[in-house]
Amino acid sequence: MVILKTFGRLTAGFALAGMLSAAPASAQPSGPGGPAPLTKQADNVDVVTVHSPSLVGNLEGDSADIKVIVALPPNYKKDSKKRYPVVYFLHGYFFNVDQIDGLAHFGEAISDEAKKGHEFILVAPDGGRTKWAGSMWSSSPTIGDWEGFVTKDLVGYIDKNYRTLAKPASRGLGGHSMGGYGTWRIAMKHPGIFGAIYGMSACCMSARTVNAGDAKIEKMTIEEASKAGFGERAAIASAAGWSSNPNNPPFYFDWLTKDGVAQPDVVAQWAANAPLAMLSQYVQNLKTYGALGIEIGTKDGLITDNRKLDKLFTQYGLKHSYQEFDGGHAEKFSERVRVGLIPFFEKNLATK
Amino acid sequence: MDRINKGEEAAMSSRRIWRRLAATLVVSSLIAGAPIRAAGDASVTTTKVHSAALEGNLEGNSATRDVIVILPPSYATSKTKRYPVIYFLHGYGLGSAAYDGIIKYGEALTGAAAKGQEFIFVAPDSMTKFGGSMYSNSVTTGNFEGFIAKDLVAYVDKTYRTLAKPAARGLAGHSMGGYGTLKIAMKYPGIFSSIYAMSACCLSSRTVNPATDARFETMTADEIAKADMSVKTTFAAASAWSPDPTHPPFYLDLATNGGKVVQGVLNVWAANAPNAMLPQYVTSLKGLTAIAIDVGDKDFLLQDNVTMNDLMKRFGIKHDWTIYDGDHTNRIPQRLRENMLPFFAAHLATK
Repeated sequence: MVILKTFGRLTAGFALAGMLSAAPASAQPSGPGGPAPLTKQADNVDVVTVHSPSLVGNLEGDSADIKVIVALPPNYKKDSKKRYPVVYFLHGYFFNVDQIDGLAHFGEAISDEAKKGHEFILVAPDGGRTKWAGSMWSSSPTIGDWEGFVTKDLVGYIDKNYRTLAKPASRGLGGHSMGGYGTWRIAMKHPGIFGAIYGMSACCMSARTVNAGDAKIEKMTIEEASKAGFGERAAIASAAGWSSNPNNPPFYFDWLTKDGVAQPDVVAQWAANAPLAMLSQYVQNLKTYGALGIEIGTKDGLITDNRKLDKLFTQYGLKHSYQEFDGGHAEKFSERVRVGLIPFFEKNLATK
Repeated sequence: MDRINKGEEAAMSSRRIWRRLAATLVVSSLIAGAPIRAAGDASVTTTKVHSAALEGNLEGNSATRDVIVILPPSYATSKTKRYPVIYFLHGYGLGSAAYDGIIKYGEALTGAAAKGQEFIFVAPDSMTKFGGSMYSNSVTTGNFEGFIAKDLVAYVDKTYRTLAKPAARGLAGHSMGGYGTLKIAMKYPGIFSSIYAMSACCLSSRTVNPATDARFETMTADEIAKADMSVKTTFAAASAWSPDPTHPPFYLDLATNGGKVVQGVLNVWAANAPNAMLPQYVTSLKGLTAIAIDVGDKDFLLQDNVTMNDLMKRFGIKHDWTIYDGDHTNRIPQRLRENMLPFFAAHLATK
């Protein structure tokens, strides 16, 4: 129930605001929270730390050593020659990977699939232990180059340390919410790494304009910001990802308003990070993928943006699957991993 | 009048800028007259390069492009020697041959060779239906980024005795070509190692004024062809940045619809503006060996370039920055000889 309630609030945050404005602080979690991590990890799961040169030197002082959950087919250690496809999964905002795993039970999901004859590795990196509780899987001097972490450092580490089918056709990239955003962004900007792409309830697809709540966030101190609600902190995390400014301590980003007045240059930088605005220059990159999949709940406040993505894909002749399911932003997350994400990659990744 | 908002002001200045850009380019073209092939020791040829990246574009722009290639004087006699390569992107409204007529690439390269600075110089043509590709990636104009960064580089490395490595590849351009230089350097790291943007255009997000621009919505091809350059540049920008395969006959979206501003299109234009793109490409730019930006003090694009300089400083991106006595076009042949070629001589690997 606690889980459902938290996700309910998360959904409300997205639904009300699409990460734009803040709901009343009293309605928000007081800090990163949500599902509890697993008390005991499944036998087929490795929890490793991956050092990322791409993240070294970020201005927030976030760690460049990233916790990564690696869920292996149960026979991985017995069958010492076999190589497997890999699904990379990027989680959403406000939670860390342990909490997401506490909800999704990745190890169990991979074991269950292996029993059905579908063997693959699932890799879920942490993107939630940053100063503002989410990396946006973006690239900026303030947060570090998370795109480089995923596409180079993490893929490099996994291919070196596990028996993977080390080729794009056998690598999938998927994610939920902020992770769905990261999935599309990385798919557009970094072709030739992954072969199939799946965005679940992706957030942050549209460019936004300045709204009334932004002038309030402008006045926050670091301390106030770290206690701010979900919507406000999501906006702060976005600024760290998208409008970095090394000369502007203590946050090291430019905010959407200055003395309450909208800043067009900053708004433009945010637009340049919005997948719906980025897409037209990445059509050829997206055409290189074997499969593209979008899914979104009918009660999710982000449905309009995801319908726009579906429409744009169709407009540009990008073959893709699009599914709307009965649900909100996150309460069916664990089920969707099993009936949406995993079957998509089983169908679309090369197994040899 | 004093209540005019900032957006409108920016839109107006943006349109003024384009009108002046168009005017100056046309004037330069008239003064220069017909293209003149350079004489001298460097050998100048125009070849044709087919680009897979440009195939199937909706405007029907040719996927086989004219490319001017200048080989250094020693190329014919030093049969095993390999050379660094400078790729040079022309500006809006005039093709590569017209630029050669003004700048005289062969003469410039001969002069550099006399100082011991030998390069292969490659100047591709990117004229399109509306007068310039913006060196962008669009289903309507074609993927000109891919043409430059991949197909052209591969062709040149295959056909000529190049030093086929990033350390020996430079990318430069003027105006729209300066824009293309910065954008391609951001989006395609690991191809070029040094870049030089001269009087780069289009660095800030393009704006719209519905009061004057709504009329573009109903223009026919004939009317656009007869219209002033500021109209043509709007169509060039829209075909490069906001292509729409479902919107014939031009396959593009303008920033107004029924006279109302379409914010989604302005967002797409912002996503193509280097000053808006830069913060997410700091890693790419820091990976370069050398960057130069220059602009004339009387250039109407001065402020945008000042902003780019400020951004690079802000992010600790090492670069050369020069404001010189000149306007958008009058010093380009001189700057190419006295500044751009020496810059590449200083930074490109020669072996």
